[in-house]
Order: sequence, then C-alpha cells, then structure tokens
Amino acid sequence: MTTDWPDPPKPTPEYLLIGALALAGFLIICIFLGFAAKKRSSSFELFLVGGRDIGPIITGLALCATWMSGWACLGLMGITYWFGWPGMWLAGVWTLLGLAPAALITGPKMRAYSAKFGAATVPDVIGIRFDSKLTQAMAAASMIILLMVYSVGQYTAGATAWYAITGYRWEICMLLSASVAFIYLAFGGYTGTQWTLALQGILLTIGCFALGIASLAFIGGPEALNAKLAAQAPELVGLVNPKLSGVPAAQFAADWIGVLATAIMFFTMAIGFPHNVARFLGMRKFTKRDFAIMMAVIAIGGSVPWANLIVGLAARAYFGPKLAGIPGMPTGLGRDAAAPLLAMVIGGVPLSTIYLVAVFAASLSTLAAMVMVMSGNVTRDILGLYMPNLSKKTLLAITRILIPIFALIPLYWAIVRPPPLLAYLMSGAAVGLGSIFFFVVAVSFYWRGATKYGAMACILYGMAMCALGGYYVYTINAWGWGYWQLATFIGCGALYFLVSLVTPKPPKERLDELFG
Amino acid sequence: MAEPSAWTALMAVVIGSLLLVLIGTWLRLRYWEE
Repeated sequence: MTTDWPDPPKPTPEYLLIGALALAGFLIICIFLGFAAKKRSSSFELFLVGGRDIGPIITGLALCATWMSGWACLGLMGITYWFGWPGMWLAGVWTLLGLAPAALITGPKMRAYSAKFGAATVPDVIGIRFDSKLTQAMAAASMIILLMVYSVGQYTAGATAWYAITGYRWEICMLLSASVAFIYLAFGGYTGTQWTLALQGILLTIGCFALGIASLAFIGGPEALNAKLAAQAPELVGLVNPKLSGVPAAQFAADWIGVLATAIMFFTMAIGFPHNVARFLGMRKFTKRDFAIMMAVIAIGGSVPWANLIVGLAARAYFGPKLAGIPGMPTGLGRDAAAPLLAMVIGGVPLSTIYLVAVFAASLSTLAAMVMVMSGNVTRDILGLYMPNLSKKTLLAITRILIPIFALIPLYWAIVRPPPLLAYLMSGAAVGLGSIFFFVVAVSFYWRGATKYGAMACILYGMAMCALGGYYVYTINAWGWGYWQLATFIGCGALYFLVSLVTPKPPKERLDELFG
Repeated sequence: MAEPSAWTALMAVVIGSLLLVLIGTWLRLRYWEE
C-alpha cells in the first residue's frame, strides 16, 4: 500500500455554526429539565436520589447514559481505529456483560437499601452494609480519586469532537468543552439527573447508531471493511495482534490473557461504578413488567459500543494510520478524533452535528453523574459522618459549592497533562473501580460473611495497585496491562475473602436485618 | 488452525451478550422477590 491517504476533512464555518446551535439547543433542553426537577429537589435527600419514583425506561436509559461516557462514544473508536479488530476487546465489546449483571444482581439490592435504610449514595450503602463509618469514608475517598481520573476523559472527549469540526487550537477546544460542562452544571443540569440522563441516553444511542450504520455502508460493507484493513496490515483483521507484545500497556489487544482481562474489567466495571449503580437508588418499586422493560432498554443502549467499534475500524480503512499525527493536537489525540472526522467525510454537517451532540450528551451525562457522586461522597459520607451536627441544609449548600470544584480539578489536569490515548486513562481507573467495588458492593450484598476489615483491605489493595499501575503500566511501560488487571482483581478478591474469614463478623441481628 | 474471522467473533459476542440479558431477565422474573 502507498502512504497516500486522504487528508482529514477541513472544517468550515457551517460546521461551527450548526454545531454550536445544536449544542446550545441541547443545553437549553437539559437546563429546562434541570429547573423542572429543581423545584422538587429542595431537600438534601431528594437532591441526591430524587423522589425514589423513577420508572423502568428512565432508569434503564440513565444507566446507559452514565455508562456510555465520552470514552464509549469517542475514545472507543480511537482504540479500534488504532489497533484494528484486536482493539475491540477493550472497545466496549463486553458492555452488556457488565450492564446486565449490574441491573440483574446489584440493581434490586441497591433499590432495597435505598427504600429500607434510606441510603442516598453508594458509600452510604457500604456504610450500612458493614455498619462502619470508616469503611464508608474509605469507599467515598477512593471513589473520588478514581472518578477524578475518569472525569478527565469527559472533557477530552468533548474537546476532541469540537476540535474535529472547528480546527481550533487544542487549548481553545478544551475551554469550549469545559464551558459547555460548566453552563450545564451551573444552571442545574445535574438536578434533573435521571430525566436529563435519559434524554442524553436517547441522543447518544441515535447518534452513535446513525454513524455506525453510515460508516459501514460508506466503506462498502463487512467484507470490504476487512479487505481494506488487511491490505494495510494483516494484523488489523486478526483477533489478537502478537506484534504488540512489546507494548505492555496494549496487552488487551496482544494476547488472550489481555483479552480475558478486558472481559473481567467490563464485567466488574458496570457493577462497580458508583455513578452507574447510583441510578438504582432513585427507582420506584418495580413490578415484573417494569423490570422486563428496563432490561430491554438496557439491551438496546448497551449495544451502542458495537456500532461504535465499527466506526473506528471504518475510519482506519478510510484514513489509514494518518490521523496519528495531526498537527496542532497533543501527540496521539488525533487517533481519538477518528469518529468525528469520519462523520464529516460521510455525512457532512448533518451527520457530524448529530454525532457532536451525541458525544457531548455522553460526556456530560457521565461527568455530571460523577461530579454528583463525588460531591455527595464528601458531604454525606465524609463530612456528614464525622460532623453529625451539620444541618442537612448546610450539607446541601456544601454539595452545591463542591460541584464546580470537582468539575474544575479534572479540567486542570486535562489541559496540563492530556492523556496520550483516552482509552489508556479510562481503562486504568476502570480497573480500580471495578476490582474494588465488585467485591465491596456486589458480592457483599449476597455474602453474609463479608466484614468491614475485608472490605477495607480490598479498597486499600485496589488503590495501591492503581497507583502502581499508573507508574508501571502507563508511565514506564513495564507491566503488561492484562497481568496488572488480573493481579488487581484477584488480589482484591483474595484479600476481601481471606480477611473477612479471619475477622469478627457483625452481630447476627444486624445481618438478619440486612439479609432478611 | 484457521482463526475465526473477526466478524464471527464479534457476532458471537453480540449473540452471547443478548442471550445473557434474555436468560438473566428470565431467571430474575422466574424467581421474583417482592
């Protein structure tokens, strides 16, 4: 093959104008929904969980919207763009493997803790389960740290999409992306949480499926896609790419140990993500019919990554490796722009505008849910626990002050040290969140033998492994990503079970109350 | 041994995932707890 690939499309004023108008319209609707809900969220509890009256369609859509982050709607295409088919294992192919158990296993228990014990946050649930303030505070603190990392990706995703359609300098794109997020948060987009999230779930599903179908048609169908990829490099159409074995951070695409680790990561992450499982705290008492409807919604929403990974492959077939070095962008981020650039080529202004709104819907929904979780964690799970004299009104006020702070810190990070490939950053945090909270939350709902010491050991080990992974996997590229994921997951599980078995259990009456 | 094509692998994951949702939902409804 020659190196004569088509240039990325040039942005024109129409893209900017229509894109900005569409984003403004989207923001106005979100803010309107926020205001409508704000009237009802006067108390601290209502602010965090709503009226516990949310139905199955909204709960299912909100779950999908918080799961489908900027990573799922943009970074995911960056992975398959760069790694070809072997990248699909990390590119959300296992999404339903995680979302389904989250709804089937964790969801009903979350709802029960919310209704029976008044739990309003995930650490709250943990505090009640283990009857331990310290465990609750530790869970809250570790969530804040890992969610902060994950939030960085939300800004980057919006900025990358904006970059593709405007061609502005990267810093300006980041500021624009951040401004949208701030307007959204400041005008109460988060107060309409479930409703706004549901709208965003619909938008991102439509946008991503539209682009997925258009991409496959554009490239000439499944066989033509593979033929074009194989002509570039045969590794692009394999299931794993052994040539990547020299790049430990890319083990997810290099061998079957890496692939196994991706499956475990996706299985644990939806169950373990506090901003995902928090969605179940606000739901009403479900009937069987409600539950079946919610599962159908999740099956549709959870299919979005399959469309997305095709988009990344189609972008590779069309642009070749050319996007890796786009001038004006931090190294590597051009790969993440694969989807918006392909949208421009295929569908011009209309398709890329639909996709742009989808990316912002995806990243804002995740960001807002995370910022809410982080601020709620600080007030309710740390301050509220150790300073019980603070009134609920004060706690609500502090939460509102913390929201912009928790939105600012990741922004600073995203500008100062943008990740080389969005997927790396996000999968790092996902490994930690999934490995820790799969045991501390999901398993603890069903295993009476779990103790607070087991939970704390699991949290400490998981956090230590995240710190080590940040250095050995992502910084000096010494540990294989898959080995690291497996060591984190297995280690968290081993400590959780072993420490629980040798430490004193909560009183029987307490357990009967929780499990009765 | 010929490696299955990437499309086949993707289809296997898609069908497997949808089956998981279907069977999981069925089991949950079968053993419904009020």
